[in-house]
Amino acid sequence: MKTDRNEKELEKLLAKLAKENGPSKHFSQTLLSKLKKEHQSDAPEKGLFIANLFKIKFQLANLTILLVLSTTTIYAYNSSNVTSGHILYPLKRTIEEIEGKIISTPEAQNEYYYKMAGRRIDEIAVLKLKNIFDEKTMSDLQFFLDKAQNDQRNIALIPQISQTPQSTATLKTPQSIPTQIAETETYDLDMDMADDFAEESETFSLMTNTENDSNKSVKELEEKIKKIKEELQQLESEDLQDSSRQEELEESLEEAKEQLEEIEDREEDEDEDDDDDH
Amino acid sequence: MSDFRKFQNYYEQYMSKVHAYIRSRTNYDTQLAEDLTSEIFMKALRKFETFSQDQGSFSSWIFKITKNHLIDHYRSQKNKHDSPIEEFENVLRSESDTQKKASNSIEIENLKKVMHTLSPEKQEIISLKYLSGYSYKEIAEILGTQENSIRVTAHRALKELKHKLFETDYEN
Repeated sequence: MKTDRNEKELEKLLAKLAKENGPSKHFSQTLLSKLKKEHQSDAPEKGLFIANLFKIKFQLANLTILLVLSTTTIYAYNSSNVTSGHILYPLKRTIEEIEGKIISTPEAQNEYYYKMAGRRIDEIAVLKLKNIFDEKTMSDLQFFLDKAQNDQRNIALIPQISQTPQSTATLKTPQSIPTQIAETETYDLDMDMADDFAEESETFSLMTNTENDSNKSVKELEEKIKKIKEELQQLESEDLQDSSRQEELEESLEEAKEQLEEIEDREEDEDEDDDDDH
Repeated sequence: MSDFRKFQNYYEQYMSKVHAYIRSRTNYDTQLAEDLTSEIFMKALRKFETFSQDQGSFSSWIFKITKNHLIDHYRSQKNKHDSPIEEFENVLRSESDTQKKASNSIEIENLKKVMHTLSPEKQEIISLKYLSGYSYKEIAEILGTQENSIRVTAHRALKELKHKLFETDYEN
């Protein structure tokens, strides 16, 4: 009994001590407000973090849009399926115009006109498969070919379109960028235009896949031959005993002459073929 | 729920316990206990982002911070030499405590004294259980021992307290 009383007494004392030990209300409230202030002073950093996160999301969204736009632009420019009437056709033509405007040299400009002509031909081929005849595209093709023709510079290689029913023809620009037109039926391109062009221009050749690639023009070969002859003459006049060099030069001279002959023969053959065709 | 609301909930639940514990470990110095409690909860607020329920309960987490802070405090007290002003403040404080002591019942004062004679382990358990209000389960988690062991130690501590307070003439 006494033990129980003592136990209860002890518990009461401990409870009293616990109550005494507890914090005052004033202290609790003061501390809580201090903690709130402390948290709020940290909060702007978090807000900044959230703002930055939003910025990052915003930037990611922008990047995605940019990616989609650039992909669309690249597709529009490179695809021959984007023809007159297609939703992306104005974009394609705008890019081409910009491309034309940034050209600096006349040679590059000439190449540009051929390139544009080639692209119009691709579009015409695609439209033809859909049984669509687009006057605008045709007139654009004419425009670019005229532009190329009117160029005052003497360009050695000018492309011509050869028409062979149910066959493939290759259009090669001076940069050797082939554009293949696959046909399953007769190609209705106005060949008179090409023939007129051929008559007026003195220097052009038909480039097909069966031709050898003659990288050296006639002019270049002639110049080379001239140089070799000059060097040989110099060697003889100075009485230089450099037989190996002399032999080299003579070999080069022979080679150049042979190449020049080949080109001339080929041109003759082509002329003959053209005459036969007419 | 925002982070601060969560913290506030924990604060309301555990602040009095932490304060009581600190007071019992600082010779019932009210001002010092309040200062240390403020510092501990400031620390806890700054570290609150690192707290996760997976690692343990809030009670053991805050107790760890409390214990470490007390150790740091006593360490710094050892090295610290009070300035004259601080010494004067300490005197004032102890005088006000003494006045308080005078108004408190003698029994309470005796209890405090007797508690100081217990082993550190028993003092800790009595403080946590009866002064701070932690459950046996929480105490076991805080101290990293089994609940049964805590119960046994608490029972022995009470027995010893009872004996010293009532069954012997302690004052003498």
